Amino acid sequence: MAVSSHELIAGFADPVQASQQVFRSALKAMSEPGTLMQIDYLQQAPKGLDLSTWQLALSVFDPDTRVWLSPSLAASDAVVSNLRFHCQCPLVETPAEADFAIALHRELPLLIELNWGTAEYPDRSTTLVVQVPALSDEAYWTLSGPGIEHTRALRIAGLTEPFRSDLIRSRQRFPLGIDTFWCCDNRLTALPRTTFIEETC
Amino acid sequence: MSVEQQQENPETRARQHWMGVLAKSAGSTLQQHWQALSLEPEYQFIRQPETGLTMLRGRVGGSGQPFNMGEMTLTRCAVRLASGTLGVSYVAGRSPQHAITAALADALLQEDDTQALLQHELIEPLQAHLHAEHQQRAAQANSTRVDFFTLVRGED
Repeated sequence: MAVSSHELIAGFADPVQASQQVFRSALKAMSEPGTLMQIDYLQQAPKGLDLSTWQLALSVFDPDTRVWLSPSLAASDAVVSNLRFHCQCPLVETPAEADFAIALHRELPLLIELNWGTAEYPDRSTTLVVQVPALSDEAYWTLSGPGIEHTRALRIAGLTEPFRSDLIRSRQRFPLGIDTFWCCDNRLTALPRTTFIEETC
Repeated sequence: MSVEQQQENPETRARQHWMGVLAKSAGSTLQQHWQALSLEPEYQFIRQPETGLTMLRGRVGGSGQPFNMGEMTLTRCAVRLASGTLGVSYVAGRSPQHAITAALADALLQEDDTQALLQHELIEPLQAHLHAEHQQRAAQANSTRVDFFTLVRGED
């Protein structure tokens, strides 16, 4: 699909500063899992992407990052054109080939369809970025593990039952696993493969 | 990723031509002609001017195997006019101003009401300037040409 120029929107006003700040937020979310970060370096995202997803994409994707988009995002001219123009990232057909997979919460791939890395190179796994309807620190999940002093509460709305238990069970395959970013509007949090999740409600 | 073959149509060809002229002209010459027009279009940056390196590829004789010739500095920029038209530029060197002006000119050249004016007042003079420079350089090179004559040997 070619880039359609009428869909293109502006990237960061100050690309160097903004992408480093966004990267810093993503790193904080990943290293202190479940922390809610707010990122506001842009006011507009391509239709279909949340502000936080778009800012994360602008700061981490480059021509060597293979990206998979869930079906309705892949069908959106605005999303595809802007990713190709601003990030120049190759878009792949299946989630297993991707370094990053971006999905809407109702179009999540099965975890098993993603790339889990290998025992020698567990870092080559797919990072899953999910857009969810709501994120908050209500006590639906209790998180524990590296980066969390005692426990932390998190609520991610819109996840179906089989996916939640798949995610919780995926911790048994450590060091293999899937790291995840959760995006909602301009907010973002992360759950790396090291975080244990306990359902409290 | 392979480069998709662009559809060859007169519009694309015309745009390739003016983008080429804008990119190859010296920044100062372009600025001079641009300011003489005193156009001040309203615009927004889609991509701020950014400088980077690009690999130049060549083919021996224009048809041999492609090879990497070397890298060059390049500045690129994309702007959107208030009307929605997108202008893009890739220019040699590290001058953001050159890139912005070239992108604005590219956008205005796609607009029906400014196209004729810019073609006439900007692209044609720049083209003439480039042509003159090229001629001059060719003439300088030509004066150093050495012709080797080989005498035809007679049959023994």
